[in-house]
Amino acid sequence: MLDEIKLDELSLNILDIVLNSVKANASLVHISVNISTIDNCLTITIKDNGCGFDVDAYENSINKRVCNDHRGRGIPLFKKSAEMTGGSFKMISTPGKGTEITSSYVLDSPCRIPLGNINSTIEALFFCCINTDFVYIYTVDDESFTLSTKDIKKIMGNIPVNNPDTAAFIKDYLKENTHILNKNRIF
Amino acid sequence: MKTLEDLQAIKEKLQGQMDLRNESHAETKIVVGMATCGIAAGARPVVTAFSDTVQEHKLHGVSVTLMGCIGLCSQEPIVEVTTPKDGKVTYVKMTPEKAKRVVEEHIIGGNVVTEYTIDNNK
Repeated sequence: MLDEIKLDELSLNILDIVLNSVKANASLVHISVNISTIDNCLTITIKDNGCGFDVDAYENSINKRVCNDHRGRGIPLFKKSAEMTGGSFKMISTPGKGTEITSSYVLDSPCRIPLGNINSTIEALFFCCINTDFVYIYTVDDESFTLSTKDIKKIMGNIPVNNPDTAAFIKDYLKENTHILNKNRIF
Repeated sequence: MKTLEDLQAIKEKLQGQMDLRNESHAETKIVVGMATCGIAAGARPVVTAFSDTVQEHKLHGVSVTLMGCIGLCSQEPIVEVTTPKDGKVTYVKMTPEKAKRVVEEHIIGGNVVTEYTIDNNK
């Protein structure tokens, strides 16, 4: 079971990487998915204010890691998903300040993994990590929409984000706005 | 199209209800393994099913949260359900269908779904 793990949607990589931010005690995580059909590019940015880490020490530990170690496979997997399309991957982290990861894909590359059900990823994070705030921005060319748990909490006060009625609103909001931007295209 | 203004109306409706509680003090906890191994094995649809079923039944005092890898990658998706009556029960190789059953039979009905527990899947 310790052989290669595969994630067949980029939205699953996003879930995986954002949960690192949650584990790093981030109080706020920005998640951006930016699709440009004009530049033939898909860019995912995840930025948190968590504990951060020493990137050099991390790279060393990855190289020394024994092949059957099942931990810490998320970042290499995410990096590979971008690089195999001819895209790029960048990770900046400052201990005590936070981490920013940017993963860029060649949109029409046959090697690009589909984005998949991004709304399901956002819902899982919003409903199950209620002590972390998230700002989600989805952009297709010159149109975008944003959903922030801070804005939701500002309106809802002490009513939790995963309250059934609030949750139903969030699901509809994500579904409708994504549909409008996608214009029947699947990314 | 939905806008954040629609939320205001939802809030006004909910404020009239008396049974609002902060779910962070939940008595029943559903914790889904969400490390890379769990996600690859299909944990996201499992968490969606738990969340949807809990919301559908409007259950209060039940939280759904995520955890990392507990070192049993071959048994993923793994879910720990803790209730006041039965304590912690670990379910393995979960699916959305199994998740719905666990909410309805174990959490609502009070009967552990033994056929999905780790003890019966070694």
